Amino acid sequence: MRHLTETIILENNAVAKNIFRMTLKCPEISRSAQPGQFVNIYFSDQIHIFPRPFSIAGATDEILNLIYRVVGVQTSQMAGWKIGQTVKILGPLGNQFTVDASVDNHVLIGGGVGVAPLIFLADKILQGGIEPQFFLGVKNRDEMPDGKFFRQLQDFHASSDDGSIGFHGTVVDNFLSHLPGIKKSVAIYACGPEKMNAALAQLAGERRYDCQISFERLMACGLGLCQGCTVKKNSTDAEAGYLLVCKDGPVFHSDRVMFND
Amino acid sequence: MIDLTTQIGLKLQLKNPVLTASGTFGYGDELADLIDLNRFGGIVTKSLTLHPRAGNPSPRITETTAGMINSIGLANIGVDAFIEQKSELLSHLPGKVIVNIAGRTEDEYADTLKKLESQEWIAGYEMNVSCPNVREGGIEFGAKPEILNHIVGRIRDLTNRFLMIKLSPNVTDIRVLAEVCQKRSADAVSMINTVYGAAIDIKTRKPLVNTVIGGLSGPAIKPIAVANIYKTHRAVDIPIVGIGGISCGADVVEFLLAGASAVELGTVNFFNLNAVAEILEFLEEYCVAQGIGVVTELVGKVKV
Ligand SMILES: Cc1cc2nc3c(=O)[nH]c(=O)nc-3n(C[C@H](O)[C@H](O)[C@H](O)COP(=O)(O)OP(=O)(O)OC[C@H]3O[C@@H](n4cnc5c(N)ncnc54)[C@H](O)[C@@H]3O)c2cc1C
Ligand SMILES: Cc1cc2nc3c(=O)[nH]c(=O)nc-3n(C[C@H](O)[C@H](O)[C@H](O)COP(=O)(O)O)c2cc1C
Ligand code: FES
Repeated sequence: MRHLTETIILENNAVAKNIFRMTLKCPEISRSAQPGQFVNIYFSDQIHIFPRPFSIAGATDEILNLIYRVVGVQTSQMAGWKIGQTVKILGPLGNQFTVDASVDNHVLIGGGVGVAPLIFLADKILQGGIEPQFFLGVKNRDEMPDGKFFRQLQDFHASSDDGSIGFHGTVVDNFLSHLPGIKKSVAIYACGPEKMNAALAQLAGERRYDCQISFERLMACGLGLCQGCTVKKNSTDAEAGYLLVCKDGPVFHSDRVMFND
Repeated sequence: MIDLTTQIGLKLQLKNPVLTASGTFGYGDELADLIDLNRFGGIVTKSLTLHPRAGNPSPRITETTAGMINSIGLANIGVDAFIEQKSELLSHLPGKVIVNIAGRTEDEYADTLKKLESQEWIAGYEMNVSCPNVREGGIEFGAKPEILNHIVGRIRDLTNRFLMIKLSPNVTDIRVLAEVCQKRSADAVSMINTVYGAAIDIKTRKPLVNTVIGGLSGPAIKPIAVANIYKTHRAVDIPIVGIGGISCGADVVEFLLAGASAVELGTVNFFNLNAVAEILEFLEEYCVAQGIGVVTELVGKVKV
């Protein structure tokens, strides 16, 4: 059930360079939130009119966590929001990652702030008594979120483009370097830049891994009203049409969609 | 209690003057859990075409100062699927349902309408002759008086229901087109559809919507809407339904004063889900403060 509510900020701190974590008291949303789903944040400003979508990075009873990178107008505003301030928010929106417990290896692969929904997913998988493998790639050491997010993960692998932390290279290359040790069936859950997503989709296709990817698109509504947030269906039929990231997604199986529309 | 009942021409009575704008509210069923649909005087559906349309490739939207540009390209499920899937919910709404129709050819408009005529619950039609985002159909029917004359005449002969023609501001003189609609016995005109607009990413040098030029909507276009409504109201006798950039109750009053009999809410649905409730509250308060008992008394009452 979706709710539009005014929530209160409990925490809003930097966890890496330009990356913040916001904790909100929001039982209406947190109690039904699932990994992969997102929320809309609304702003009173009529200059930049779109609400902004953010993945749910954690939900426990009354508390909702978001992890966001400051990239523009509204995220800069958000970084200045104070504890106790209210925020207008709608959620949970969109679909969710599905976890098939019969798979042997659950591999979570995040690029940059794409880590957000995967932290929530890792929590859920751990609660189910399964130890997931977690790969996170960042540009450099400064952008690596605080270690406390990953402390409970036994199988965590960092990488950076410049080698300043963890494996030197892309997150996909880091995953590939671990593949020889990974036996039996694999399910990939990913969220990151389009290039990373496309590379993973190709890899998953070649090796027949189940691969779910959380997409990002510019959104005007987040609710299926504007038809603006499309991703092309994977089909040889030229008229195959589109899926909506906000409503049909944001999580799609990598073989259902195209990566260069 | 203020009387918000609004009569649009002879055939359409609304419990209040606030409708949804086509393409910004799905088929009326997307928000049933979040907004009380009964608050609206009526719902106007997404443009329907004879066959389903996938719409344009991405990017389809971009945010611009106080607005947005879209190039959706009339993506819709097609009239048959609409009747099959949406009748159940829509036929039970207490508010009126206006179905917006579009087409590539005159025949397509006519065939779409003929199919809809079988549905008793439909209160009337809004004919989209003003979409800027499709190669064929759309605005070419609404830009030339002779062509508009022909298509409105043809559609008028096919239905006795309320028929409203949605006009574009991207023309030299919107009044000429409204006069054509009046002559052809349309019950009303609605205006404005989106305004031509474009935006370019200076880093990649690429256009921010796929068709380069798309349709601008949102608060940025409100003054353009008010100007078009004002001058059309002086030129024709048929009622005008005002659209364009409305975001609050004060905006609605402004539209009524300029000459609109009712209004449609578009882009605001994307950024304020409480808009209709806030607007109705404002209308009540404004009328009380102005000593007006019936909201229709405001129509065209700008003091010039
Ligand atoms: C389903 C979903 C989940 C998301 N989850 C997160 C999250 O957990 N953490 C996080 O930091 N960000 C997330 N994002 C992206 C986030 O919504 C944007 O970064 C934010 O809207 C930027 O707002 P702004 O006003 O600061 O930037 P703007 O000033 O609007 O834009 C700055 C730059 O970012 C680009 N941009 C803006 N919005 C998007 C978008 N939706 N997708 C891609 N590029 C965009 C613009 O084109 C521009 O280049 C998510 C997006 C989606 C669609
Ligand atoms: C995303 C989007 C899709 C639209 N689709 C349609 C449509 O299918 N048919 C139509 O007649 N108008 C369509 N419109 C135009 C609106 O109905 C309205 O005329 C216009 O947006 C101006 O009003 P606003 O500023 O309140 O949004 C669309 C507008 C937007 C923003
Ligand atoms: S953002 Fe409007 S339909 Fe997805």
